[in-house]
Amino acid sequence: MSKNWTTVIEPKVPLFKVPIKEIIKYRELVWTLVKRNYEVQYKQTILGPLWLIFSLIINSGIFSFVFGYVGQFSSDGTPYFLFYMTGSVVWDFFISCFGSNTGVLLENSYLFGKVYFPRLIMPIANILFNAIRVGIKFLVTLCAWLFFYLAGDAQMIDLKILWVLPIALVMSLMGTAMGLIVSCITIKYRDFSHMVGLLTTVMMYVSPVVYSTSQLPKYVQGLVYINPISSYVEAFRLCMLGSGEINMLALIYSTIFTLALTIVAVVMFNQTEKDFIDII
Amino acid sequence: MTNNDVVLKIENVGKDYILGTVTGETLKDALRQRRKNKKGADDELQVHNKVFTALDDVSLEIRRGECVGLIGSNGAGKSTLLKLISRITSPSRGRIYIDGKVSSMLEVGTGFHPELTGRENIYLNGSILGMRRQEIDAKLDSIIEFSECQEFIDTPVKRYSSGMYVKLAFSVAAHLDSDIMIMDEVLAVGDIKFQHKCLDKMREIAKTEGRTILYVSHNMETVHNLCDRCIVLQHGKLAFDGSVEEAVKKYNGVDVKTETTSDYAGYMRPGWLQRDDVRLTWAEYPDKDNNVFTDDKMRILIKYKNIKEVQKAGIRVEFMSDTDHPFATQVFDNVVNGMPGDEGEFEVVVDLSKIQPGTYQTFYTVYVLNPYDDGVDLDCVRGLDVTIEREHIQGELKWRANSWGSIKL
Repeated sequence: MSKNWTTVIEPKVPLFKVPIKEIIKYRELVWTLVKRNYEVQYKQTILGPLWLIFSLIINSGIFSFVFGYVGQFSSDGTPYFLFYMTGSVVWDFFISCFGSNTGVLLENSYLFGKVYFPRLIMPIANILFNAIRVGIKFLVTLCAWLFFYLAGDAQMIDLKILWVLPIALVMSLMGTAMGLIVSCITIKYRDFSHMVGLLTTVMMYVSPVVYSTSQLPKYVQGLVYINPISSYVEAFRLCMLGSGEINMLALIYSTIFTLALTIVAVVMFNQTEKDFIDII
Repeated sequence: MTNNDVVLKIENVGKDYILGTVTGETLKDALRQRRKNKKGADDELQVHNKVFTALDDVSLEIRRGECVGLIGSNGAGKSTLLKLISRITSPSRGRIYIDGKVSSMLEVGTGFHPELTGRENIYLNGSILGMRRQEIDAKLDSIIEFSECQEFIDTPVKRYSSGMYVKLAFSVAAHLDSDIMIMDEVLAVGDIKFQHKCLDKMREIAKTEGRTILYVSHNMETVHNLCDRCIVLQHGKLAFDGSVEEAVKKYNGVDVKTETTSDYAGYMRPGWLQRDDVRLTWAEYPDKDNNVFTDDKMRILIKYKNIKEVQKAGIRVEFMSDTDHPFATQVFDNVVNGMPGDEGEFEVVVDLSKIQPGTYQTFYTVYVLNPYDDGVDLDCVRGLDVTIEREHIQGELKWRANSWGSIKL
């Protein structure tokens, strides 16, 4: 009985397991799904991905007007427009990873109920798709920076900017992990699908996206850093614009938090995906 | 047959479903149920969370290159078994071992996106079903040709007619290439012409060397045609595993009857029968202790009772193949006569010489002629089964009833 079976299906699945080999085997599917998302989003549009750029510029403009011009928030000396643009880019990556994965099981149940492929493919495709969108936005931000730099309002970018990549990676991981957890719970309790919108707004305002932590009183700063997203947003801005400050302790805390959250998310996802089709 | 030939092994697999709402749809329900649990009032809960066993202790082995039919009535657990094998849901008990790549054609059009064009959807659907990009590239032309949608291939599928949609979807699924294929007959879609094309394609896939096929169907003829082995599921249990012919019989609820008599006293007549002029009461094969005939003459003794006056009524002995289509009928004129209340009996001799060996159902129908020489049926009952056996004569062509029919002219 020493046969090498390709697949053994058992009632129980291991708690923590990322089927890396299988995912690599299905890498073309990841790419196809990313392409599908892109094509579906911009079918029958004239401007296509240009909409990304418009929404970013208009958003940053509104933020600059409301919080900067009217509200007189501090931006650590950088131009408002640039300050809010960097803030929304990094925030957008996090929240779109979160948002696109909160319904990953429910929305794709029509697929999951018919064919097998490693279910983690879906969140991975979502991350990649969002990464491409944010990549475009990031380039736009760089252009904006160039504009302000030439006008003499912004500092020169130095090597710190390379840190942007790991920060983005960890943020996307955190967003995805949170999204997956919500997605798993929503299978049984639809309450959570109503909470997502609310959660998105709340999380945005408790993170230093439209303000910088340095302008807050010391004791409130501590509270803001409880939110694991805060230190990443701040660090991202520091790497990009050289403004603001970095809180190492908070950064370490956020990273540990993210790793723990990811493990929890994968465990939950594995346990849920094996037979959630029976419950839906 | 070494162990190495087994490509799919199912070991004591069972699957339970929970009936009713699972722990309630909302958080509130869940909390309420929890409170109830604490109070110990779980009788009510039990009604809600009853377990339904869809599959129970199913074990089987399928070897490389076999084409296995899977039949069973609705709710017998066929789909559940397929879902388990194709890893859509996990079993509650037992293990499934698979060697090789499984593709299932469980439903066509999986993952089609309405906004994308036909061509884009071929790529999307293909990769979801596990095809490589180069593979799709290579098969693209043949997929498009098969789908008969050449003109519309660059139009978003949301503008397709439903027929075109399923045709395209089936074409992608039909070009899958893997070691173990799971096929569902309902996949044969579209108009009659295209359905035949689908079935032919399935047949072609099935006959390809080294392919293992698991074929689900309600159509016994295609199972006969495609499969060399057949599994019957009944109420989640494996009821039969063996030759296709016996499996089909089992499925039809015909446990090979060897009765030589039949009493029609309490027999329910079919609903379409409008007349009740005469009622058959008894049929038997006289002087026989089984229903196996080795010679060409089948004698049947039939008794009847008149309810109204009947003159010159005849009887038809109809032979049915497994699929409920009569394929041969012998007619006997003028055997039933009499006044109301009369009882009588007669004997007919059916000529079996042209019917090939096999087991057949029969029907006996009493009829009279109307003025236009059409038959009007007065009674109809399920007749005694008949098994024809003849010794094979050396040098003579062995008859393949599946392909050539049951009658040799």
